[in-house]
Amino acid sequence: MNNNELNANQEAVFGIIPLSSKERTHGFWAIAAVTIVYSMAPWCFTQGGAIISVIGLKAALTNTIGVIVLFSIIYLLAVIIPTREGIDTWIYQRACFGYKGIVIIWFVAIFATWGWEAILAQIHGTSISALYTIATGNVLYDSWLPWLGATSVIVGFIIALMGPNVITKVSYVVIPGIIIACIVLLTFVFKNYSWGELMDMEAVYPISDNFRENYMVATEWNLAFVCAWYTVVGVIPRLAKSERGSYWGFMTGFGVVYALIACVGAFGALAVSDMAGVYSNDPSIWFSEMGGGLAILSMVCLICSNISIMAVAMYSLSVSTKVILPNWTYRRILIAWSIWVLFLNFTGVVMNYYSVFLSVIGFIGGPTVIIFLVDYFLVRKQKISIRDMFEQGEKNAYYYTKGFNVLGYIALIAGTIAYFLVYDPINAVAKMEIFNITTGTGLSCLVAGLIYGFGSMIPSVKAYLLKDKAAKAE
Amino acid sequence: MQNEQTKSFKDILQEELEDRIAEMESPDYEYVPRLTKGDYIGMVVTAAICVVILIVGIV
Repeated sequence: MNNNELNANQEAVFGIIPLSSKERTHGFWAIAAVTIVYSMAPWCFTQGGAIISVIGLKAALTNTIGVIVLFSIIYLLAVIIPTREGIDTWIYQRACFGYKGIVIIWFVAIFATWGWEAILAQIHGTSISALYTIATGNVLYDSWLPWLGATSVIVGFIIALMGPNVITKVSYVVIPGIIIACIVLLTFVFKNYSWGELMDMEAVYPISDNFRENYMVATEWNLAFVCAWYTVVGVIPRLAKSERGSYWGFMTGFGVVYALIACVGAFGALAVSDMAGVYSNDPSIWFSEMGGGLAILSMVCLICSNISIMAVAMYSLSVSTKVILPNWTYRRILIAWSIWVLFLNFTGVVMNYYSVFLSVIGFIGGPTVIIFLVDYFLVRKQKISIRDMFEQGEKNAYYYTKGFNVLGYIALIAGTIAYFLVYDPINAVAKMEIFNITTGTGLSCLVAGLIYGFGSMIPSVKAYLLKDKAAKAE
Repeated sequence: MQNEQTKSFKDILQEELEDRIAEMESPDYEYVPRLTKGDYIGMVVTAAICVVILIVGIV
């Protein structure tokens, strides 16, 4: 067994086991720092660019900050469970969906999560192409872009193979890279426009003539954007020394900073669209339209950040895959995920169908988190059996029906059906009027949470769910 | 080779799990400090600020 395989094994073991309160190392500032690094990804620019396509800048900025932070207040209550119990939310969700049930949800969620890395690859490709054009005056064929994007996957793969020490050093590139890109973008915007002019800017491609419909589609996208944290929300809080430090640290990084970076993207996309007549949600296109030395510097920063985040994601998601597939070697997992990202990159599906991609993230990451919040805080009243989380025999509390929690699945499926009844993610339009009140993700969360909560009040269902308490009473 | 890797991973995991579960099931186990009333007030205030921001954006 080589060192990387040993490291991956150790990380996977560390990721599974419950961390006791004595082992905690992270206070508020440490949690905030880690979550800010996670939040500073170039795809935040993409989100801001997408929002500005459907609503004007004033509404886009307030919607992005208001919706993301407001939804985060509830969504990030999820960090309380891993902080208190010392287990990842993927382990906790065995209680909500069953030992086997959670594996299926995990696969769907993690396959979708790689879409963010496909966006990175695409931004990487266009950044290199734009730099080439600036340097030589020649324009590369569009068919080259996926091949250039693939280089970020290959380099990320090689760095991820080198193990955690190299990855930690590489991750230091992210923060300065994105901060420089933000400063350059904002300087460009405020040099060319007054605040009043910016606030009067209209949407680039509104979906409807009705402001409210456009506004609610933007709200839907921002809700789904928060749900992007579903796969990683349980990893870092296990290290937290207090619930306060954990919760507010997460609110700082995954809530406030995340929203602010997306706002910078909204400024950049709209200003460049207004000035150059070119709309894109790809930041490298904005920088290439801006031109000049600072724009070149920003593109170099984007390229470095893309590779760093790609490597970090490849390592962390591969290690968490090892938790689910212990028989697979780290290298084999890494190769499998690299092939999947390359597929997404070459087909271009994620960037071309960004709203569809967001909907997948939204209908998986929204209701599942609400179900486990209802389960932990209301159904189990914050008392669980740590032993049963790990012992997966038929007699254990979270085995349910052949490894599936039927109520959890009914609630999740009902939430998903509600989502698609009211929202058409392909055309990004409402299918029913209720969407303009709740949005698709909001309604799916509501339906899933209510079904799980009220279902658990039925005495026989309550006994089915609370075998852990029955076992303790014995 | 494959079996050895799997075995060692599972063995390490099992040992670690047993130790920690025993520790956390102990009546003397101390959890990390919980959220307080001040945190919940903070959440309500933050939510109110967000609502104001949203209203400002659409008027």
